[in-house]
Order: sequence, then C-alpha cells, then structure tokens
Amino acid sequence: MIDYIEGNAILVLIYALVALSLNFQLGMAGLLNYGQIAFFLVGAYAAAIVVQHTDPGWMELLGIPAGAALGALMTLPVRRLSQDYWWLVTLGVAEILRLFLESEEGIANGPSGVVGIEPLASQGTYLWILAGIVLLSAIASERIRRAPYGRALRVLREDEAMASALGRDVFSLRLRVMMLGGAMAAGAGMLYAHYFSFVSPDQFTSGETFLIFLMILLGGQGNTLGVLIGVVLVQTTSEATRFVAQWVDLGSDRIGNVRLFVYGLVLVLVILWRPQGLLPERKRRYRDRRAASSTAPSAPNGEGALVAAQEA
Amino acid sequence: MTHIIVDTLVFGSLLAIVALGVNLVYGLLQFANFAHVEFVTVGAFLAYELTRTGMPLVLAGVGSALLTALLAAGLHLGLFRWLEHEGANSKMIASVGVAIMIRAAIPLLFGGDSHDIGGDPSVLFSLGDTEVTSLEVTILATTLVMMAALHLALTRTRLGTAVRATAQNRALATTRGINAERVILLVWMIAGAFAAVAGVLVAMQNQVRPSMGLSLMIPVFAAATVGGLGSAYGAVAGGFLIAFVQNVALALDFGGFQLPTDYKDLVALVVLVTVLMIKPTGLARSATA
Repeated sequence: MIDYIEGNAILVLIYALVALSLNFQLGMAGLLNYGQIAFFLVGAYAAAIVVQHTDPGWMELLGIPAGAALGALMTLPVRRLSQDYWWLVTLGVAEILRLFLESEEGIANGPSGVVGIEPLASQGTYLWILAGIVLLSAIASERIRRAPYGRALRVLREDEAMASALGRDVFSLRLRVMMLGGAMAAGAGMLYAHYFSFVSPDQFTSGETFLIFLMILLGGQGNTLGVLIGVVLVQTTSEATRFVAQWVDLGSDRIGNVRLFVYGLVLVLVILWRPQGLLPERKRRYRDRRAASSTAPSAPNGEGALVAAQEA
Repeated sequence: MTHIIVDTLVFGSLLAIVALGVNLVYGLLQFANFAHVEFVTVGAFLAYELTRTGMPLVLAGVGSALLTALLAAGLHLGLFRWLEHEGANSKMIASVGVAIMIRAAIPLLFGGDSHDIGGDPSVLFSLGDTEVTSLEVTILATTLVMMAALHLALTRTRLGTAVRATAQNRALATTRGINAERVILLVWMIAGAFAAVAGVLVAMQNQVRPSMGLSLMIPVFAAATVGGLGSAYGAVAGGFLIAFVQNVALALDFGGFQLPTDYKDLVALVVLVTVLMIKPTGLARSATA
C-alpha cells in the first residue's frame, strides 16, 4: 500500500514538473503549445537510448539541452507569423517525433520500446529527491513570474503589440520561454524514464499533452500553486477510476473512454464557468502614488494588458 | 505519373471539403475548431449505423450529413456561442475538450471496431499507368458538386451574401439587418455536413474507424492554414496543394531512399511551414485574419 501511494506521489511530482514547464508557455506567455509531450519524450528517450547503446551514463544529460534546442526549433517558424497556426506546428512535431521513434527501429527498438532503465535511487528516496526538485522548480517559477521577464511574458500574452511597443523583443521572449519549458520538460522525461524503467512511443501521444492542459486550466493558468493543485486533482482522480473500474466491472477499455470523456467535459466546463481556474492568477494592482487613492481606477478584468503593462 | 494526378485529385478534394468547414467557421469566429476532424468520424459512424438499418448508402450519407450538421449546430448553441467574447485561446482549448469528448464517446456508443461501409469499387477505365475506379469517380464527383454548390450559394444567394458580409464585418452586417447568429449557425451546419460526407467517402476507401478523424488532423489543418485561415477558396487550394506535394514526395525515389508513407504528415507540415514563411497570410489573397 505504501509502495502504491509512493508510486503515485512520484507520478504526481513528475507531472507537476511538466505542468510547471507548460505553464511558463501557456499560463504566463499565452502560447498554445500542443506539443509539450515532445520535450518529455526527448528527455525520456535520452535515458532510453543511453541504456540501449550503453553509452556512458552522463550522456543522457544531453537530453536537457536537446529539449531546449527543440523548443528553439519550434519557435523559429513563428518568427514572422501569428499564433493562429503555431499550435499545429507544435502538435505536428510531437506526433512526427513519436512516429519517427516508432518506425526507426535502430534507435530505440521502435514500437516495443526500451526496458531496463536503471532507477536512480530506491523508491522512497526518489520520492524525496523529486519533491525537492519540484519545490525548487515551483520557487524558481514563482521568481520568474515576478521578475521583469515574467511580467514581460504576461504583457505578451495580453497584447503582443503592447509588448513590442514597450520595447520588448517578442521573438526573443517566446524563444526563451520555449527553451526554458523544453529543457524543464526534458528533465522531467528523464526522471520519468528512470522511475518507470520502460519507455515506448505510445506513452507520448498528444493525449498526454491535453491531460497537462487540463491540469493547468483546472488549477489556474499562471498560478504556480494552482497548477500544482490541478496536477494532484487530475492524477488522483485518474488513479481513482481504476478502483471504480473494479467495482462496476466495465472493462478497462470502457472505463478509459469514460474517463477521457469526463476529462474533456471538465476542460469545457472550466472554460465556460471558471476560465481562471480554481486558483486564479493573482494580479497586482498599482495605484498612482500621486493621485488620491480614491480616484485611482481599479483595473476591471478586461484591462489585464494595462495592468501587466504598468508592471513591466 | 497519372496515378499521382488521380491520387492528388481524390485526396485533395477530400481534404478540401473538410478544410472548408474549418475555414468557414474561422472566418466567422476567428478560431480553428480542433474538434472539426472528429465530425468526419461521427459522420462515418452515423452513416454506417444507418446502413445497418437497411438504408441504401447514398441515403445513409445524406442522413448522416444532416445529423452531423445538427451536432455542429448544437455545439455552437451549447458551447461556442457562450465563448464569443473570450479570446481565441479559450475557444481553441474548449474545442480540444470537445474533440476529446467526441473521441471518447465514439467507441463508447458504437464500439471500437472497424467496419466496412460498402460501395465496393470496380475499375472503370485505365488512364496512363493507373486504373480509375468507380469509387474515385464517385469521390471526385461528389466533392466537386459540393464545392460548386457552396460557391454558387456563397456568391449567388442572399443567404450566401449574408455569410460573406458577416465574415467581413459582423457589426456592419448586423446594422444592415443580417441576423448574424443565424448565419453563424448555418455555417456550423454546412461545416458539419461537409465533414460528415467526407467521412462517408473516406470510409468507402478504407473502413469506418474510430481513428479516421485523428489521422486527417494534420493534413486538414495544414490545408486550411496554407490556404489562408478564414478563406473558403484557400481551403480548396490548400487541400490540393498538400495532397499534391504528399503524393509527389512519396512517389519520388531519393537515390535509393523512399520516404515511408508514415511520414506523410511530416510532408504536410513542411508544406505548411514553407508556405507560411513565404506568405504569412496563406495562399488566398483575401485572408483577413
């Protein structure tokens, strides 16, 4: 039982890392990255390929810069262009990367995947290591959010023209946030491979990306604590449905689809009824120090850009 | 050589009638409906269920197009109408939620198996190095009639003019007495019906499968975007362009290396990025987005 709980906690923590990495892009910068799982895949396969080809173990750390490089690569086509189709590029890259590993058997056994990736520590220790990493990442992500860079990202999210007008290089902002998120998700993928010890292409479908979208939107885009809460909620309900499946005897296929349907429904309902998520992003309000506080307008919801612009 | 042309025309016209729906909806609501390709799957399964009641395939196709049109209208009334004033990101993510729901609901309602829908092709005539089947002629004829009908409807009827006016400037159209809400509903229904017909045609080529919409996702959205989001004519051009480059790339022999068919999505993506690098608005000049 303890084993089981520990195992789940480890998965929650790994998902938390991925969710935090996507939150930089989706929550802070408003980038619709539908291919986040690709970075996770890069990290996990870095570990797998090292096992497969018995390279020195440290080589797998190259997965992290590889994740950052992939992030940069995905950003290049948006240089001149609107976001309207960028999501398609990210989704496509993720799918093609998965397809590539599935059909090129020489790299990592194709569809059957790689087994025997060594654990880095015993399960109990690993849990604490991961908890530490997630805590550090959460603190770092809070700090980035409050730093001038994080504020510039929020301006970009609210109004791209405003960000340019304020002298921010929009392309560089996006490039850096994709590299940051890419490296982080690749790191998470590596930690995942060492926990699960088995890696195969069908663990990295775009369905996984949308699961992380659900976690972020449910918890609250742009709110670090909210994102973590979203991860815990989605991952525990996902586990809980396994027990429900045993009670109601529906067959794992059907339960899987019911669960998927409910996830889709929750995603839709969150956007309809509580688009800011359970824990909304906190917006700092500034008052003009010279004017009397009574005349200072409090920013209504629609004026996020203005508030963010003042912050930047 | 001629087989490339035939394959391009067949696949291109299928992509075109699905991508048309994406762009019509985009033109009015400024977001790409991620769930659109799921209408293809829904249409195919509904048609299959109708044929099982003994209905002839043509009637089943029409029936399924009507039902899918109603589903699309319901989606607008139940969801997207309420997101009108949200940003494009919210609508996009909501449409992802809808796509997930449909994808999960199809195996729950219809089972996860593949089925034959009938309409077995026979060879009609040979053309150069290929043989043209009755199915290919059916697909081309159906899709061309649909595209021509849509073109005439958009340019020659009052309702079509209203659709174009609303896409161009909704506020202005409303002041001229156009019921924008009704126009939007109509466009959703056309989009759903076209995708459903494409679903039936694709099912006749292969089979009715739960994953058929998903496998069209990248080429369809690439076609819609390459053509110019929001442009109906662009969607048709984009569909044929993607189909053409895919067929050529797969037929080419790169010095002993042939591109595996698994990578046809990669070809679509490369076309997308290349075209948009050169011409960010897409092929259609009139792209307003």
